[in-house]
Amino acid sequence: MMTIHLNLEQLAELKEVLEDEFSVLITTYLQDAELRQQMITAAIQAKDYNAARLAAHSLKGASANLGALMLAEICEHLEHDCRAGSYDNCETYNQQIGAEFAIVRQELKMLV
Amino acid sequence: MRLLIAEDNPSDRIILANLIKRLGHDVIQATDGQQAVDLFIEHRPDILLLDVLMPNKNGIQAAREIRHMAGEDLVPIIFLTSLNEASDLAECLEAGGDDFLTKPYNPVVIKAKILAFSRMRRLHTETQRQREHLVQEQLAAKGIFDKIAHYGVLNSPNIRYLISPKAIFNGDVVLAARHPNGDLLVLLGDFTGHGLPAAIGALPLAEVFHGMVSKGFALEDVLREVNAKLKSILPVGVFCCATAVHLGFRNRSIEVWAGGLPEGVIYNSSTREIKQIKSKHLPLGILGQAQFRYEPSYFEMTNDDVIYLWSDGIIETVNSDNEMFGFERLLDVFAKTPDKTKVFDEVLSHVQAFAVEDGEQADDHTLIEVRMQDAPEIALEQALLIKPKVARRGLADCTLSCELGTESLKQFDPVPLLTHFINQVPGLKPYTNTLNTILAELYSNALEHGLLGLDSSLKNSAQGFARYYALRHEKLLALTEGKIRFDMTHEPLEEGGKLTLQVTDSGLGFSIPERQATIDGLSHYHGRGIRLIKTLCQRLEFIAPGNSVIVEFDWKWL
Repeated sequence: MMTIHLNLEQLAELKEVLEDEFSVLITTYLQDAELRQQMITAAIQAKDYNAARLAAHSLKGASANLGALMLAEICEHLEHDCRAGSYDNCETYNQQIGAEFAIVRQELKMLV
Repeated sequence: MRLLIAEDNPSDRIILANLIKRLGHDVIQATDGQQAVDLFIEHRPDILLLDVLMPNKNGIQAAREIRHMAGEDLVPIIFLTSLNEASDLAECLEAGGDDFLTKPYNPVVIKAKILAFSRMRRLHTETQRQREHLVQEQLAAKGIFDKIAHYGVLNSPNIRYLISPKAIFNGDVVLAARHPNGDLLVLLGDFTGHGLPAAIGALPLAEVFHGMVSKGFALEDVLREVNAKLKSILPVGVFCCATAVHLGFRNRSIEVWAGGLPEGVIYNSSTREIKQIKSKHLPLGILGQAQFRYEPSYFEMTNDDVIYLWSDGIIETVNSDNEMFGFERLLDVFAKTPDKTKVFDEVLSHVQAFAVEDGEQADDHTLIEVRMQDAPEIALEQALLIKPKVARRGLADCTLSCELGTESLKQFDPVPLLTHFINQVPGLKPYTNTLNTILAELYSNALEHGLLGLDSSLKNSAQGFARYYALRHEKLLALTEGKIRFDMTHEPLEEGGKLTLQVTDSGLGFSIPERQATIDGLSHYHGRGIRLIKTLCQRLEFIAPGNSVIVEFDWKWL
């Protein structure tokens, strides 16, 4: 089964709504997502799981809005575990986020 | 519409802002909760979209603060969330949220929700505007209403009262007016219903009450008139429960009529004795004039006696168990308040403490306290203007003067008019015949002898009689100069009254010694008429030079 990284239908709709600002949106998202990802990594290293949760939450929402549903789902797992207090898989999720984000970034850049 | 978006994630913000701009709305953007609050104060947006998790101040805290500031304004708050725990969503609603938008954003859903809330907001603004208009109108009307309904002597030092309306207008009315003799009449009324419809009946009530009391009418007369007026103007089912008290400061007693209100009390602050004022009548405005009953209660009063009256709003205040405050609890307040000057406040604070917390007041609350003490000084400062006993429903103390010139004398008989006037004194009706006779005799005496100079001895024979009236007609037609003046005074007395009539003509009169000498005999020309009057009256006196006569007629209630 092929994994869908980006919902292209959703992105097409956004492009229609935003017109010229679509590229600004992509750039903004990519910058922000990178920042959040760094925050998650730093927070997990410092065992600040609340900070990790907040960053994951933010990245989840933004990713969902751009159709990066796979990335949003991994963020959701991380957010959930941080909230639930089970931190064993956090680092694994963090790495998955990094890998998925690399793909999303590549695909998004192709759209602008 | 102007929408405020608070969202810390920049890409989410871009999407949302653009979606909304495309819908034709203005967008203000905040990046955290604190900025959202600040921008709300600055721009007063119509709708808010708040992210839940934000740095500095989260969306929930911001929503609470904004709700507080918005007050009665309806500012829809839509939370932006990817939270999906039920308890999180519940917290959003509890903080004042109206709806949610979940990520990823769906343009169709966003459009629909914003449209729905715009409609709601416009509707609310319109409702608010109309309500404000209504309140302004009512306040203006209330100003006029208060001038009519609540003037009088309510600010007397012996009166304390509180009217706590459920709405701007009030179905409760408190009236106090002073009799010309210094006595005080107090009325507490409670019209059916609340607000404007209930208050309207208070206007005629107040007008009749103040008008009649200041003219010295007795409580009975006032209440009969008020009842008749209310009966004729109020719709069926609307009436006025009332207790009315006449405080007599000279004889230290009160006269009470009570119809439909909860029982009031007379509280003696030194002996702590409590007498109850019980309702014995139907409320005002129900019975027709013929059925209306006036069966007052009388109480002797001392300086320590204080009258307390209240509307049923006080008694019927309910607590959280839906129990009424009731009369027993009220009596308990009297028993437990050691400081006699504090009873009024204690009653109010007990009722307030009893009431459901934050509960809406269910009825108008009215309480009045009237002390016998302090009042006599005020009462006695005023001169005794009328006799203690006032006649019922009609003329009592009155004077009428009327002068007829030659033209009137030729074509107008004043006797019926004057008889009718006297008839307006209640109690004099049974004496109509007698009084009519006296008036007629005095008038013909003045006209025929005083002005026309006719000799009544002419009337001793049949031909003379005819001759007399022919002459009278002739002389009257030829009259060029002459006036007759009537002065009537009536004075009410304990058991009836005294009517004094003086008839004066502009003729020459006659020599009094001669008149007085012959008055008991029948020899003189107009002896018969005068002798008749003398038997009917208590006093008859001619005034020099004999062109004026005074009679006094004392009468008793039959």
